Amino acid sequence: MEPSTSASVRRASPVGDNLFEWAGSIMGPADSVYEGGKFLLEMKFPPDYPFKPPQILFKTRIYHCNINSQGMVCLDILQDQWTPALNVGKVLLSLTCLLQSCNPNDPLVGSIAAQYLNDKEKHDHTARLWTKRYAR
Amino acid sequence: MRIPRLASMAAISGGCVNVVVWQRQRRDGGYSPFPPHDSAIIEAAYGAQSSSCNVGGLRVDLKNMLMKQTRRSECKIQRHPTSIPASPPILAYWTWEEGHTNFAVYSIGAILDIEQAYQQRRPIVDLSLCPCMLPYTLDFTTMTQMRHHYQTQRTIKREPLHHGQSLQSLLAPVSVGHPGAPLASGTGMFSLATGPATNILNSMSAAASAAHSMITRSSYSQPATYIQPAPSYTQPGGSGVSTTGQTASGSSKTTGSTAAPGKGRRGKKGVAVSSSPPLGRRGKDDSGVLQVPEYAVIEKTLDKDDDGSCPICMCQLSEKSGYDDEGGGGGGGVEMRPIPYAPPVDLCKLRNCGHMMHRPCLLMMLKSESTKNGLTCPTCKKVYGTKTGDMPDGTMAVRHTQGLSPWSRGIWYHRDSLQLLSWSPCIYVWPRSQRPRLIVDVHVCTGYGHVQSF
Repeated sequence: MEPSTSASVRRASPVGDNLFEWAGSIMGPADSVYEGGKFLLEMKFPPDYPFKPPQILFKTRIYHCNINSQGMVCLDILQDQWTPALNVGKVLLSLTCLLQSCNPNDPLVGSIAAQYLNDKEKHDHTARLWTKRYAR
Repeated sequence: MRIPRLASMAAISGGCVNVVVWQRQRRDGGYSPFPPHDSAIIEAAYGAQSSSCNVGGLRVDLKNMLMKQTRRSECKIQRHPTSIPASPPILAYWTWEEGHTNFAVYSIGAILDIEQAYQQRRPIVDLSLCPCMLPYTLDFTTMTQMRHHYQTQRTIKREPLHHGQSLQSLLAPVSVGHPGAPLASGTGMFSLATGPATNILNSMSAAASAAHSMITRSSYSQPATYIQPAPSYTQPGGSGVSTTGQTASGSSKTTGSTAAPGKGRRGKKGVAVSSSPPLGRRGKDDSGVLQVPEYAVIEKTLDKDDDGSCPICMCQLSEKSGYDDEGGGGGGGVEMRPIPYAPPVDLCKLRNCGHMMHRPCLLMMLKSESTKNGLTCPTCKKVYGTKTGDMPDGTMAVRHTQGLSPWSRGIWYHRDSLQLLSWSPCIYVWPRSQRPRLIVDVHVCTGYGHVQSF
């Protein structure tokens, strides 16, 4: 399903005067287990930014097999698949897509990925519970 | 991620010499090089625009690019411009017995490796660890070559060149192509192509950017400090014995010259602009010489369908690059002030995928560490150049043990990142550069690095 492109769903702006540190938020995509949640992000841009990917941390806890408890995200475009043609908007869109469909074949949290593959009902239940508890 | 092992090691060597090697077609369709003497004779005739010449009693028809082998059979020949790394003079070439006491010449790259090992008086040389990467081990005591896996043996021969001559002197340096010859269109792009245009464009843009920055500086004293590259692109300062996982800034300019012998991949691309002058204002503060990479061509005009934005700096292609000036693009000041004339924009277009961007942006991207020694198109991720290794950037401890025998150079070890506290031998030491360059093999990925200090 195509995620909504409305600007209110994904926001990001610099924190104070420092252009290298941004704060952002994405809403949990509709029809996903994260629906209704608002996930706060912290973005740090390296000094050689367009040539190196930004570091993105989820400040809100989330039950997702590609995002660990420290908030680190396992996403290829934030690592070796980064290109200077990407920008903050595209990164946020990719993160929304990651929430929509996780990638259990390349997990950061193995237990959640295993649960997603074996017991999807329980996984979805926990994810909804965490969204309700932490992301509202 | 598993990568093809050391795809083109020669690509990382600095200071290559572009030469021409003539080749003839074998019965299986592949091409074998002529012996260096013959290659020199043919190249001389080709340069003099004569239609034919004689090589070892056989007639070479340069008009149709054919060589008469016997009365009836002919074979195709081709002119193969290649590049060889700078090396000590090679005083002999090597041949191997292909059967029926017929000896075939090794490719130029292999000759370089074999002769160097021979001159260093090594008893054997494993060509698979050399830049030519042929699956053979050569034994100089018995003068045989053995193919890996199959274990088949063949006789090899060393053919000394005439007294005082070296292989390098026999191979003609790359010149402008023969205008009438069938292959001229393929070879003529060497050395010429965009030379004069580059100079004009460079001087124009340098003058324009100087004038431009004067305008902006005089009225807006505060330079904008929007995201601007930090000076950390250059070599990270190493302490102790360390080797970095990436090349220094010089790698970007040498990627174009590979010595991979006989592989036609390089022959078509062409070394486009090797003598482009450094970019006007930037040249001062950057250590590396900024050159147009060979995989991009300079564009003077925008195509009608290419008036989008530069993928790197996000500025419009019709405007100046965000990396063109020291002030980081001038920020808002430039936009508010009406520009009295349109400054010539420094654009380039990638050769294969055709995506356009500002040239300063591309150069800045090449200087950044993330593009190790190849270039990936930021828009479509098409890979230009050869990527060798996918080791993460960083430093790695290495150590060296002295060899016991006179021909041994000792063994380099590197710290294995996955098995801490253990030392693994480096698979190859690249000896042809000033500083030793180590090739290391960490589990599934191969990489290389400079030894920074001892």
